[in-house]
Amino acid sequence: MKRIVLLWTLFLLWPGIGYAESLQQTIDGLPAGSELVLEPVVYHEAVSITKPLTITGVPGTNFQVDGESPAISIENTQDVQIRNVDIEQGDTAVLIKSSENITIEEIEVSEAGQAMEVHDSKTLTFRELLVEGPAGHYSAKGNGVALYNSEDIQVSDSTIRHMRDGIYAEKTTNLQTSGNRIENSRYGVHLMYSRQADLSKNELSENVAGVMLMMTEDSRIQKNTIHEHTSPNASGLVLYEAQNIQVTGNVISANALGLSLQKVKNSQVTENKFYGNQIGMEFIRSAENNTRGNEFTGNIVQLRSDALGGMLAGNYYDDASLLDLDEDGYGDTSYTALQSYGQWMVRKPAYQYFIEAPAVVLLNEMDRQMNSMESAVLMDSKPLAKPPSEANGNPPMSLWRLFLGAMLLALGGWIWKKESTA
Amino acid sequence: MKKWILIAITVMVLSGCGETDFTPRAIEAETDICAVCNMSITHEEYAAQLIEQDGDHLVFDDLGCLIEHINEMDQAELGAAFIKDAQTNEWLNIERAAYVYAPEEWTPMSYHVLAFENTDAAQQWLDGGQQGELLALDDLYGFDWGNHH
Repeated sequence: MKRIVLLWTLFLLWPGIGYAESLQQTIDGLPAGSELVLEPVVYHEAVSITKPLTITGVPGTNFQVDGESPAISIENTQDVQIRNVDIEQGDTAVLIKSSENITIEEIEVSEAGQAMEVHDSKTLTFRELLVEGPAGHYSAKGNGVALYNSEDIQVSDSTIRHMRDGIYAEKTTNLQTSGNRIENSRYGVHLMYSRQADLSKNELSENVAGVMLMMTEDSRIQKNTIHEHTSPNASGLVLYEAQNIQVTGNVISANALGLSLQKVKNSQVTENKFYGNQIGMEFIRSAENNTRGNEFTGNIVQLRSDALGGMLAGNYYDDASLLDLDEDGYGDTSYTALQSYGQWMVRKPAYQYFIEAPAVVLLNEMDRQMNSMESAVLMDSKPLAKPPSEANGNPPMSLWRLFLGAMLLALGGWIWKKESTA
Repeated sequence: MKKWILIAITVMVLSGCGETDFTPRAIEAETDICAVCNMSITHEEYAAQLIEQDGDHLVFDDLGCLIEHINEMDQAELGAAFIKDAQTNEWLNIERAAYVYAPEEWTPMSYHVLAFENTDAAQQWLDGGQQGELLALDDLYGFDWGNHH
């Protein structure tokens, strides 16, 4: 009898289970402008959004979609917001086409071929994304945020790792990226045929190149930290066939090549700090750009160029032997960037072990003397006598160091006095 | 006997100085970068390469970069050049390939030119509903590449 009751109960409940709405059916049934709060469950279906909608997840909301369908598609619509959702696996996590005023925030994407892909859209905001790419070589992966033919895009406060390019923009206007951390990818930010991009306060590290900017114009790269791009062919920044670019106030350190200008026109490289790179900066067919107020410290080769050289004025070089007798802040003699041994070290990194060998020191001194006599293609006629970071204010006084020094002096005096009286 | 040894050594030495091998090599995604634009070769299906007379190989990520390099190099140094077939992904000698400028087709540097085994294959691709303009190699050397400055 109990079995019959159980079977009857299951029979009554079965239709309710069988006709449970899929997430897509729920979305289709909502009026435009609605807000949908998702359950803390794993969704195994891809969803398509074609009307204004706000979708909010809760901790535990997760999409796991196999196959080539994007987990979330947004097409031919406007005013869509998606936040607080995790997306795992899949070909593309979020695909946006022909849409406007879309906000994607607090989204965690892992193991997806491509995280965000955007075509022909306008006024998009991506904020607080956490993108972790799958294992394998970058040539077999997609991008963190890929933008095509779009405009007015913000990507901010996001972390992207192990993708092909962290942010890839093609034929895109007014892209603003700030506060992002992009690492272990091919290029941190890759711009092609784009205009009016603004890259500010991002941290880019351990990619093949931190910034790869190609055929792009009227853009700014400012106050970013770009470091440790040291793999074969790696660079902090590469600007190729670009014009009207401002590279200002960046810290570019510990890269194989700090900044490479190739066929760049009408651009400014100002107030950057080039610290500890194998090569600080290079000019290739980029002689007509303004390079001033930069600090070149601890680079194996400060600057190099092709035969056309580069335009240098008012930079600081830590290997310059300068006097500033008139105390105008500039060296009394010009600085010429040419270090034979440094150029060889670029080709044979093992040579760095001999950098302070007497013969190398002698060679560097000969370079220095010869450079001051000949007109060279990389000459700064007004090198700064002090690094800009030091000149922009008094050096900070360290009270504990002052106290420690005084104590050591007193201790030394006491020992000397005690020994002399003994 | 010494004479024969001398002849054998001479033959061996001369055989080592034989003709340069103008066979295209495989792309190394880990280390290869375009000799013109410095982009890494992540889309091997659009790659090109040039072999100089001394046997040095240069690789390119897009046909447009190869053409730019050829236009600017000393022509006496050009040994052979190859481009990937858009349909089979096999290397084609650029002198024997046919080309289509297809503005809607993506290529790594947006030069939008695809290579085919011959004119028939290119025409067949266009007849399949694709938009584009059939080109010969000579057309590429003076081609207006659109987006590029």
